[in-house]
Amino acid sequence: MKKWRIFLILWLLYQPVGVFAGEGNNFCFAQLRHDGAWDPYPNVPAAILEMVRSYTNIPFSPERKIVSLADESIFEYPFFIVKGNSALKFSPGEKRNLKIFIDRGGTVFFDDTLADRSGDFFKSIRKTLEDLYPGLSFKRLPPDHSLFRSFFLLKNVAGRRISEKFWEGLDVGGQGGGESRTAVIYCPNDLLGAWMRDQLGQYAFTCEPGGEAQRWESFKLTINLIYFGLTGTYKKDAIHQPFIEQKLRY
Amino acid sequence: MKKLLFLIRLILFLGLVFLAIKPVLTRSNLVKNPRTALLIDNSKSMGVRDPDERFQVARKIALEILKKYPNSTMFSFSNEAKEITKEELSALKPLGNQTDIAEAIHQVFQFKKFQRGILISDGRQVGAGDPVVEAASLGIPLVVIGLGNNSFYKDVAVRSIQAPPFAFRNLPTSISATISAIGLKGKKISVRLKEGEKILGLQTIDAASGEVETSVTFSWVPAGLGSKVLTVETDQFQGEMSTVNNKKSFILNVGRDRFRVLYICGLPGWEYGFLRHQFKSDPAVELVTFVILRNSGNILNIPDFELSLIPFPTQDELIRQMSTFDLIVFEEFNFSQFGLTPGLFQAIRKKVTDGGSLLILGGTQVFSPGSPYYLAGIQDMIPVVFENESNRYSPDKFQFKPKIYSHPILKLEFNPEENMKIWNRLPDLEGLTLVPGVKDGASKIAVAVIEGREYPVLSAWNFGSGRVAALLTRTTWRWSMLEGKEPNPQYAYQQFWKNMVLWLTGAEQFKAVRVGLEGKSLRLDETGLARIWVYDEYFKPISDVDIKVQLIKPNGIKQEIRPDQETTGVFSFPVKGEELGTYKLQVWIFRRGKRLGADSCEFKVLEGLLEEEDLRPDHALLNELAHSSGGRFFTENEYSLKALDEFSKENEKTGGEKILVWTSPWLFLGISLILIFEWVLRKRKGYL
Repeated sequence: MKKWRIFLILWLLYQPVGVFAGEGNNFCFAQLRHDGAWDPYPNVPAAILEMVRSYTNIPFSPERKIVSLADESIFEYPFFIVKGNSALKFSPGEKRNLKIFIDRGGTVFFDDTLADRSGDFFKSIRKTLEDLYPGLSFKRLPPDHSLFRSFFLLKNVAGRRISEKFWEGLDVGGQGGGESRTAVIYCPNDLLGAWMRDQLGQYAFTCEPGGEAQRWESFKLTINLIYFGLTGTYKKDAIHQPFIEQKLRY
Repeated sequence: MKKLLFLIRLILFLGLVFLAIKPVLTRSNLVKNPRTALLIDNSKSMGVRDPDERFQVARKIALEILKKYPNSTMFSFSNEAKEITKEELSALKPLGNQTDIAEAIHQVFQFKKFQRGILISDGRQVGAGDPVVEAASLGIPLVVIGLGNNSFYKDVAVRSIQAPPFAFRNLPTSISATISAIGLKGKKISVRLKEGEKILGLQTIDAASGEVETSVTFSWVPAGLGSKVLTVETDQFQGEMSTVNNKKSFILNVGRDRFRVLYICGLPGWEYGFLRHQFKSDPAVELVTFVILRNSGNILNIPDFELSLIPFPTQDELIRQMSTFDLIVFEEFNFSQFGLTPGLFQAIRKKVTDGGSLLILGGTQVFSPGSPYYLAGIQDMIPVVFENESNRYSPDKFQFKPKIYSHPILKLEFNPEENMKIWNRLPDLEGLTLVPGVKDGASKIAVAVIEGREYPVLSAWNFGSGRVAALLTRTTWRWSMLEGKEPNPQYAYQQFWKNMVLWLTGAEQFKAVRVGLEGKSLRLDETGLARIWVYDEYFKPISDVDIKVQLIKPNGIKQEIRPDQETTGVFSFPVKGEELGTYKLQVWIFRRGKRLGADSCEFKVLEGLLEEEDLRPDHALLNELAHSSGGRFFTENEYSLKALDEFSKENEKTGGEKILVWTSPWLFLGISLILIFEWVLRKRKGYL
């Protein structure tokens, strides 16, 4: 009997820890795990996905996926979110994977938990990306960027604390007449912080300076971010422009 | 007895260890006048004067060596080696078309026993073999004397051209050329893109240093259709070593303008995002697209002016615009939810019947029971059998297994073997609608094996004068993102979708009979491989055909060619560029006495030999070659008879003839005999 138990334990030990499965064509809330404070708002993804379910027809996976740049499985998720409050340290292999991820069509959203554009978090992102893409740099996203029009028509940026009135992005591609795309987006205003609730279900932080109206704008911008990841510059197509211009005149 | 058997096995084991370390036996060579093979390069590059003619220097050195070492045999070589006498050497001129050092070493040392080799060359290897590998396997030292002097070298050359496989009329096409300039420091060099004598583009490069290699890019908008012979040409400078390499021609096939694609997606997802970006990035595609961003069931207590949503086009509007589209793509689009009626499909049906095309990218909304597409007039256009009780969805990963590798949609590479390798290396897709099969007459282009059963993934057919395809997965984006085993999966993804558009729209590039030449141009005396692809009316590759091939040479002489079958539906034959000018290949295909189709292509045999492309001496190669054989490399300035003597004496002390023991057949025979002896012994003594 003992022998069987040993065999059983050995057999279990030799089994793969978990067979990795992707999510097909569904949107998946993927978040990067790194050495810093990568997960300050663990209950936020579920709230965001609930809003996705209510307001959109996006098919999505109910579970958040935690991904790592050291792991090839990152390529299963063409969009992931990075939270942080200090300098990000990527190994050469992780940097290589980040570049491959972007080059192959992936989109990355960096959200600054401290809402401090002059802090180490953004400095490290900028340095990493500018090393990976010499000659390219972060640029302010203009008010007519597809991100602000992909579902809700938004006139301003949002987040828990409006430390800057702009977001920034890095555009890649576009050589040889092809379409360039904003593959990296940086939010200096802690977008996901506006979603965070405490254990009693109350919002954990007040939104500064705009209060609850700013929170609602943050929710809308989060939905726009997801749509932007899925549809790119769709709302820039000529067919949409007369309708959008007309609505913006309200 | 047991001790004897143990001893035999021990000997065998030690023998095998001995072989594993690849021993080399060096036989001391104390011969004062070793049998020497003297190889003299007489290819065209040896005619360069930098400052003295390389071949004259080679001849002088060869005669000196011959005098000092009378036990030498002389060979001249270019594309092959030939034994020559002293008198023949005096009359020899550097006119060989190709420097093939590897082939020369192979030919000279293959059968004849020499104790030493001396090679005199400029090192500009042009042949396919690797001279370093050949030299390393000789077992005797090669003394190499390198001629030519880079400091006297002056040359501008068009090294290579990067152009797309085909271009589109009225659309900008990017053509790049790599230009090198040596010995022209401070000069400005004009580079022109020309069609005949007409200049299509002009660029200037600065030769800032003595040796420059840079790329120039032209943007050209072709105005006409057909095969265009284009040339990239540079200025010529006085004193250039070669002017043949100052221009390079190539052929570019120009097809029709861009294709208008209507792409409607019912559910946003990664497939839509990637495919939209692919279409938007393809200059040959003009895209109009709609993606449904919410359903009627979604809560939206928000004023309309706060949303970017626009009204979906009315059926009348879509029908009115239908004639302007070449391809219509519906992805998981349940049209019945948007006030559209089957009347829309009547218009699409007419469009396809008249030569248009339709692609259905579907999941459960399209191909499952209750599908709005299962209506008379719609479902019979779609090449798969669906609306069946057994239809279901498999969320698992699966391998996209091509059934027809040579189908134009799956043709990622010209070479069929390479094409097959790419498909087998691509990452798995995920999620497939399982339908029982394809309809009669449809091509099952790719399948997946799920639970031991084969299901169609991609199928297509001709419908009226147009084409319809059904793709039952929406995860081709994974080819763009995931690693797989293919080093460049993104290229495969892009090419797959380009092919899809071209084939569905019946583009000129994808006819039922195609003939083409790998590389599209040849140099004088170069042999290339031409291929013919043959498909039946359902685009299945077929081989039971009669093929008539005619080659029309630049002088108008016609030659009949009999091609060989390479694989199903693919035939090939070699073509040699015997004279300069434009050749034409015409192909007629007959099946069961009827003409199935025909095609023709042109290719150009270009001026200049590969040998003349680059005339710089390559002493680094010669040095490596000499050292790999255990010999020594001398430049023209370093070489003297005294230096050669010193090396010979040194070599006598340290080495001599090297014998590769581990390749000896006698050793293997010996081991085999011991094994047999051991077996017989055991059998006799009853140990078996």
